[in-house]
Order: sequence, then structure tokens, then C-alpha cells
Amino acid sequence: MFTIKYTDYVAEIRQHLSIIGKRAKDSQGNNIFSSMTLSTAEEPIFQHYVAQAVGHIVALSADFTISKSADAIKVSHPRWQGADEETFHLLAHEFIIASSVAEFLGMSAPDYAKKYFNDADTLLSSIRMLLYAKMPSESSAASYGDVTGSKF
Amino acid sequence: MIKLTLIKSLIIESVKNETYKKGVFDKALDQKNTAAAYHEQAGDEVYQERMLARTLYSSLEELKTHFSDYITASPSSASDNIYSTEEDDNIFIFLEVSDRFNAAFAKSLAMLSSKYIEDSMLFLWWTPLNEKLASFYVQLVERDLAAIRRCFSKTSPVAPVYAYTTTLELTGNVIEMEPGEKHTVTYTISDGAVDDIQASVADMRIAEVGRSREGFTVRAKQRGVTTLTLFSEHDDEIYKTLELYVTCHD
Repeated sequence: MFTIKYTDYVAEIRQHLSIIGKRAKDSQGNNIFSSMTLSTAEEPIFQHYVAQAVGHIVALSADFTISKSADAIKVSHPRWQGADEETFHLLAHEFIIASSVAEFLGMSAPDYAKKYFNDADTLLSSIRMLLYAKMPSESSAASYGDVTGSKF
Repeated sequence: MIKLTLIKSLIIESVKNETYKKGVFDKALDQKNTAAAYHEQAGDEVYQERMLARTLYSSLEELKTHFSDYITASPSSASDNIYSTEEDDNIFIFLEVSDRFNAAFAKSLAMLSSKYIEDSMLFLWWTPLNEKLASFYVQLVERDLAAIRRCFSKTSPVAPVYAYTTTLELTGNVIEMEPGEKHTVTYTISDGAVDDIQASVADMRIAEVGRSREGFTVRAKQRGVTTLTLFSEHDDEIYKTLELYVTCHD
């Protein structure tokens, strides 16, 4: 089970935007920090971006189960255990951040959005590869020496 | 009768691995094929496992119909001359075949039967997905059937062996008779043996011998002494001789 808590993700998204905003300048060379950071009033839209990113992941497979509450979204997949699940958590986390930041930058600073859209594409592709990975068949306990014929 | 033992899990494993190999290759060619490769690799999904079970059993039954070209009538007309049973992971196929079936091909037939089912399942798996690959497995199926046909080459006919007697026992060794009298000579031979015992009288002026239901009947003709010999038609070492006295008591 992977839990996506809105407040945690919004905080992390704020950090990303803050880092970009400190360095970003407009065409006149002015710092655009103020337009890159979030006000409290804008935070609900980021919950929407997070939910949208989770939707992109869940849409990859009908086997995902999803449950939503006021403060979090929970997803799980029946085939994943152990290392697969850990990898999924890592990839999904990065994808949700990249996707949400890209959505926001797409409106306010399209040049800076490109990197995040590319990151999001790569991460979603990795999740797809993890999701659609099948292992070879289990080895039978029998061997071909057990395939026999006899006349009687 | 021949008995073939096939292993279900080996057949399923082989089919899954063949499709797995194709999926891995497709994904290696282009990672955009990730989801497509997943769906062409058989197994894991419940619906795919059920499809594999269906094609396994339908291919098994199809194989049995191909065997109908080679099976013979059962010695007992009441019993089936082809049937299959299942126990745990094993499928057993029983075939009534000619006595001249070369037993050395029994193992070959089992392996080829297993391969036929695998190739037939793969043909059915690829049919809706990849026409070119499906036609490749059709060729393999035909090759399997040709090899199966060659397994039914017959060995040379074996010369029949008849179980003639190896023993001959009589009671007594002397017969005394009067002219005109009849005497029955009985004998015993090996259990279950073919009776090839004949009899002859040395001097046919004194007596003559013929077959009777119980053994041989000697009829005395005139006075004298002679011998009666019972012997096997097929073995010079098997014979018994009786002395025959034809006398008049008056």
C-alpha cells in the first residue's frame, strides 16, 4: 500500500518551486521568485495536480486499487511485493512531484517546465516497465526424464 | 498396449517460457513494447492460466484423434483401445497398438506427444496475436505429427512358436491281449502343451492302432509279440515304447 499524503507532497512541491524561483529570471533579467512560489490560497490546486498525477499511474493498470480520503490517496497493486513495491514507491513519489511541478510551471514559466515534463515522462515510463514486467515460468518439479513410454 | 506419461507442469512451463522469450525480445527491440510484451507473455493473469488449461486439454484430445490412425482393435472388443487418465501432475495415455510396435519408440512417442501439445498450444496462443508466428507453430505441429507417424513403424514379424510337449508319461509298459480284443492306451503330456503325440505298432500283422477320444486304441489281430511306440511328431527324444503280447488263453 502506497499512501500519498497531500500536505507532504505540497510541502515538497513548494521546495522545488522555491529552488527554481530563486534562480529563475524573466526575459528582462528580473527575478521571478514571487510568481514561482505558492500562496496558501493556491495550495488546493496542488492537491488537484497530485491527484491528477496519481490518476496517470492508476490508469496504467486495471489491477490498481485506489482509495481517497480528505487528506490522502492510497494505492496498491496485487502483483507487487518487496523490491518491486519499494521501487514503485520511489518512482511514483518522484513522478507525482515532477508532474505537479511541470503542470504549474507550464502556466507560469514554460521554459522551466520542459525539464519537469521530461522527467515525468521518463518516470511514468519506468513505472510502466515495472508494471508490465513478467517473470519466466516457475520451474516444474518434474524433469523430461519423467516423460516416459512403455509397452506392455 | 503402450502407456505414455506426460507431465502437465512441464508442458505449461514450456509454453510460458516460449512466449516469455518472445516478449523479452520485443521489449528489447523497443521499450514502447513494454505493455504489449507483457500481454503476449502467457501466465500470471487468471484468465491467461485458464486459456492455457483449455488449450492443453483440447490439444491432448486432438492428439488422441490423430492416434486413431495407428491404434488397433483391443483383444477384448469390450474394452477401449485408446484412453487417457490423469493423476496429480501426470497425464497417462493408453494406446492399443500392433504387437509389432517397436518398443524402443515408446519414449520417443511420449516426448513427441508432449511437444505436439506444446506446439499446438503455442499455435492457439499466437493465433489472435501474431499470424506469422502462429503459422510457424502450425509447421512445427505438422513436423511433430510426421515424427509421431514414424514411431509406428513395425518390427519384423516374429516366427510363431508352438508349445509342443516336452514330456510323455504312460502307465505300465506291457499290454497283454487276445486276438480281436481292444485296449485303450492313455498318456499324459506337459500342462498346456500342444498334443503332437502319435502311435505306431512295429508289426502291423499282430495289431493295429488308431486314435480314440481317450488316447490310442490298440486292436489285437493275431498272436504274436510286437511293440507299440508313442512318440512326439516334433521331438525325436520324446517317446515311450510298450511291449504288446497277443496270446490265446484257451
